[in-house]
Amino acid sequence: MPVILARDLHKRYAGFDPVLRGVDMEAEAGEMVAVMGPSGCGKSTMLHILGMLHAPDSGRLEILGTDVFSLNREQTAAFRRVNMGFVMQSSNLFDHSTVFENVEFPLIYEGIPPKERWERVIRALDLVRLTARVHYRSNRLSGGEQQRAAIARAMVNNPRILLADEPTGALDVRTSSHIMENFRALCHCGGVCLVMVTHDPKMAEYCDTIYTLEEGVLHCRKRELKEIAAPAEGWESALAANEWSGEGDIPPVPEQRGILGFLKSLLLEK
Amino acid sequence: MIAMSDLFRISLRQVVRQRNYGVVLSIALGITAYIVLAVLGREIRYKIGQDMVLMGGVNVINVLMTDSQYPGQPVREFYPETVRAIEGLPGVYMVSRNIRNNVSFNLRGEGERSLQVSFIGVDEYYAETFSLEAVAGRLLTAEDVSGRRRVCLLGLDAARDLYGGAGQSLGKFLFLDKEVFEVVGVITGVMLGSQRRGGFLPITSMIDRNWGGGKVTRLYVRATGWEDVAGLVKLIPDVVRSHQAAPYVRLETQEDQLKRIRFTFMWVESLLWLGIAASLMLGGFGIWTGTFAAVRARTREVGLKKAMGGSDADILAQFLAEALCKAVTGGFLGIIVGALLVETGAALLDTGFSYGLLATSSLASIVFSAVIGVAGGLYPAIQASRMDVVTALRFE
Repeated sequence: MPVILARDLHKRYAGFDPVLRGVDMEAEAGEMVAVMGPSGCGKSTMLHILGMLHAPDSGRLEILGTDVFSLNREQTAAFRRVNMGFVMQSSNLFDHSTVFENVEFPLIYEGIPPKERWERVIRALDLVRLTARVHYRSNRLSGGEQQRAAIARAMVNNPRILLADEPTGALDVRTSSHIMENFRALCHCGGVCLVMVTHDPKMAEYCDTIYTLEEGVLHCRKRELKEIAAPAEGWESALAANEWSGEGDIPPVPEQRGILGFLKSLLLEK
Repeated sequence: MIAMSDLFRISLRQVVRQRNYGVVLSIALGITAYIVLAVLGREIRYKIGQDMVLMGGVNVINVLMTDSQYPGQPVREFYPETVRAIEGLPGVYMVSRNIRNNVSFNLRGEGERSLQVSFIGVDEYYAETFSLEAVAGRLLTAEDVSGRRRVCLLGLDAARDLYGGAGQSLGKFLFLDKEVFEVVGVITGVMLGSQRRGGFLPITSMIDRNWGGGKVTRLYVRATGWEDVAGLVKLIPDVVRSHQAAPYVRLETQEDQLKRIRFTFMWVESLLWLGIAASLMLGGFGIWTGTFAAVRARTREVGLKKAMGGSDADILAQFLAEALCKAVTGGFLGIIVGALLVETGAALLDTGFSYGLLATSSLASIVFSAVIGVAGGLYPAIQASRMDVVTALRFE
């Protein structure tokens, strides 16, 4: 069963020509999908519709077998919280917050107990090789590190779908390649479905499927699906079983309990 | 919905890191003033009021027997039981007995100086009734009055005129109608007026000698505060008449001064409360504009949080909690500073204060600052929660 199944999506902004004129799309678990197209063609609009941030004028969208347009506002937020992760082009991290606090946020919304959060945040940061920066303020990170932290945050709640809007748009080639390698590991080993909007053909080449959006219609240019044994529990369990050992042990939880711990964390962080 | 512990931990962190301390200080200032005024207000008002009131003499009521103005009437005096009954009235601080008519003597001072000095008969409460103090020697005591001693006090000007100074007057003997009285003290005070050039004898000594009529024909009733004066003026004549015949008893008060002081105090107090309200409103507006600014500056953050699954209620709760944290932090700071000021003020005014009142007003302050926080932060927080995700994400 496809993870994402979109049929005949239409969208038009008032006073403008239609942006989407019947978009059809399918994406499987573990599949990396790139959506390309010129500026203003509606790529981001399509991504926002797939992420349930926008409603289309008409069409059908099933995600993980659920007709998501039948959900109300609160149910939509809850569905997104559990099943989806977002990575934007830039300015992805919260100001005045450390890497840990940024990555921790989806777990707070999900109601994960504080004692479980540290390990999950570290696993997500380890995935993007950013464990050493866990206590850094977000504005002290380089652009590439910020984007990796954003990916870790998108992945920390173990989502089945990752939506990325030009995630390498503001990065140099080397860092972009590194980010794409991260995505590939997530999808092909962890069974995460990635839908990525990009301008860059080189980044698109990392993907299994490439679509182009032209005049509101999606055209498939390439589709090379690999056999992926997608784990039911998502990427965390898959990577824990297969590839986790590379980064060594999980760092111990810092002593931040109680009011004194909280004040200490405010004063002593990097 | 985000857990409360996480909500307030994150909000407090934001408040600390954004360093938006102006709003916190403004609320703290208002709460400090409120605590001090609520707990020590009565004491401060009483102490300050005492000085103002005593200058005008507005809380002293003169109760007079005016029989001598009516030909053929016997001259009546106030009976001891009448005095005790007046002392027992609510709002009466003390009662001083007095012989209404004075008696004058020609005295010889130092350097062959001669001076006409007017003496009045007073009891041991006279000095306290009019807040007089001894600049040399002592005041009259209960023993002086009950022992009918031949002692006297001089007003400061009289002492200077006669002997060149207060200290020099002590121990001098005055010849009053061929009797010898020893000067035991020199007194002065704002309310002494022209009597600074006069003298004071124990009332019993004057009665024994039938000086000034030899009867207690005047009472000075000092009310606890000026608020008590009006009630006492109504009560005293009835109390007097219920204990003795007193057809011509008359009361005199300083009504004009009383009105003026009431008016002045009303303005002073109104300005104080206005200052407190202005400070708290400033804090409320600070929270309002601060939260609006935060919502605008963090629009993209709102978009990101909604994209990662934050509900409208989560966003609303977060901004509201931040506003609440600022306001309540200000409230706590105000309570701490206010409590310290109350302690210091109580020590300076040499008075006590109610810890129960301090606790109640502290609790009220927390509730009040929370209300300010919610009132100031609610509308901007609602705006943030209703924000469209995509618009917020595209906000630069």
